[in-house]
Amino acid sequence: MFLGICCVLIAIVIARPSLTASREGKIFTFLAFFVLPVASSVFAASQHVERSKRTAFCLTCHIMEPYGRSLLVDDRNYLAAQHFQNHRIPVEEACFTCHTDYALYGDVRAKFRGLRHIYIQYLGTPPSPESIKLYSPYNNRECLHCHLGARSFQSNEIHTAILDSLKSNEVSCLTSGCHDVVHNVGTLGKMKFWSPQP
Amino acid sequence: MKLSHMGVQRAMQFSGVLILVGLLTEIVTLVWEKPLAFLVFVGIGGGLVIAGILVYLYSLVAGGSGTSASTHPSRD
Repeated sequence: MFLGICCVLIAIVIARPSLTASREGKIFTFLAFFVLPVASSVFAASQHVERSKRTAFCLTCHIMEPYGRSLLVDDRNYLAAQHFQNHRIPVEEACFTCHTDYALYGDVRAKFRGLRHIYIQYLGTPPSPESIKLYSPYNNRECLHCHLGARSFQSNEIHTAILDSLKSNEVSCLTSGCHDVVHNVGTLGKMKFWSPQP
Repeated sequence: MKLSHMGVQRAMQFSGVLILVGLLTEIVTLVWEKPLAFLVFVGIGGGLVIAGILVYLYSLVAGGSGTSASTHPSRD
């Protein structure tokens, strides 16, 4: 809408360049050629960034398809599926919620990683879905961002006993034998799937 | 380099076309829901808008004395 209005104003100046002769016309042209295009481009860029957080957006890449399917596995041990199916994370932004960094500039870093993914997808050699690895070990900070202080988390004695080790990443939530089944896309062929009701 | 009044208008029209095409490209990328859309948005849409704005600003600077020259034809 905003971009459309901007286009109409620019088209008026292109069609009637004599407008720029008067003082009012110069102000109009400045708004149409500088202020509005910059403002609308910033607005459009923010729309793009917001859209790139959506689960559907992440799953548009073919390579991510098994990861999308893993969210519907009918098995309580599948961590990602349980978070998705029980709405422990916003389902519309499921991938981003767990795979962003909850730190200063974490969103920016996540977006730059996304650009790298696009580069690999179109100009590099994309790996098979099973061989995709995280850039660095999963940080417990991302789990504790939501779970720390939650009743269900604190009522588990193991959590409270090793809380300091969890906070310092000495013990990993995912790879220490506690919650080690996350996406496991290699075994999806043997699994049953849950169908959400429309 | 100084531009005449007509030159300024032509430069502005040209910058307007660049910005217009850039903004239309941005609109298309907002409808196109693919990761590649963001690259097209930045690379083509953003590039054309920035190029158009630079041409517009140049026409303002270069045409500043050109506009006054049109009021003083003897200087041409």
